[in-house]
Amino acid sequence: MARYLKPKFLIRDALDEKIIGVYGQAFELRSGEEFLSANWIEYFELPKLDALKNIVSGMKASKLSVSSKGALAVANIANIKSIGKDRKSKIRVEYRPTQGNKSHSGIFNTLNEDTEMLDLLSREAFSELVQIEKLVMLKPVGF
Amino acid sequence: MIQVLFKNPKKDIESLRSPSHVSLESFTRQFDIPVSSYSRVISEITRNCSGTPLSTFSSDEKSIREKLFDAKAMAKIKIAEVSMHLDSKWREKIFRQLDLMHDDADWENDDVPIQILSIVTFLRSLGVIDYKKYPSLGMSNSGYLLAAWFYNENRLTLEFLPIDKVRWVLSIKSEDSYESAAGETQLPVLMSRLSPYDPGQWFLHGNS
Repeated sequence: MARYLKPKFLIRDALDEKIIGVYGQAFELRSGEEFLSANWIEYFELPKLDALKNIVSGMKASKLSVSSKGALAVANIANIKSIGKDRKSKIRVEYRPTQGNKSHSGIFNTLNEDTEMLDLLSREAFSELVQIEKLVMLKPVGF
Repeated sequence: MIQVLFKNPKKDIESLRSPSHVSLESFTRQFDIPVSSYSRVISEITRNCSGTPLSTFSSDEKSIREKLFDAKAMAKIKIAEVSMHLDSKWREKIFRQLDLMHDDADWENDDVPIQILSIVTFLRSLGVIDYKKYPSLGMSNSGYLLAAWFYNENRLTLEFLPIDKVRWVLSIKSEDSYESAAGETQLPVLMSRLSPYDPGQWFLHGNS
């Protein structure tokens, strides 16, 4: 799974250049939001970086704004579910394609009030970070 | 509790006068003791200041770029009120990160800009914690300022809520596993809540 993160959720180094982490608040549901939006990387059946590039293209195609200063955080679904289990919540992931954003998926049952769960998601699940500005150098494949 | 060496001991702080090594109490400041410039920050910024909290952008009269400019300007003006007490590099970093977190490239209409009351709590935290290391700053969906410190793999995150409330979460690596803790507390007792986790590891190491 990959989740797009806005620049405000990214922890940067002392020079504000390198991204060194993600705030747990990046996994808070917004008011009225039923699930966390994410994208299914394996949908594209491509090498990971190519798939991530296509995810960004799909987001743009569905009129979602993507900043070059943002990032995609990559996680393994089993790790996400395991964190839910440890925190007594049955997290599930559903494939929810939308017009233009064919790999769109939802992560259900995260708990806003469980600050530790959100922190665990940021540190142990979505720990691999790919800056959007580095992805844009790649050409979309099969999109 | 580890003992920590201050690089530049301040002469007017009683607890720093005699020993070269100081304990937790030495960098935990009290609201009612005007011993330093940071303490003056507290007296100059009241916790429920008259600054109107910024809400989501419902009006379409201004462009998103203009509205973000206004939001950042309000936050910077509030910070400027105490800027004489802030190191210039620290102030520049805060301003730079405010710009980063209000990126108009992916701003949505229901996104919430920085809340002035959160900025106030952050500024008042400077009177409670004598940061030697500048944190990375971010912002929650509610427009509350976030700050993160790392010490090796140990991490502390603070979320500055209105009226002196602070939400905290930390993780500490212990051999092959992590211990984590979280809570919500009032600013004056924040350091005592963090004290079992040796908060000096995050606050007292200088900027690289």
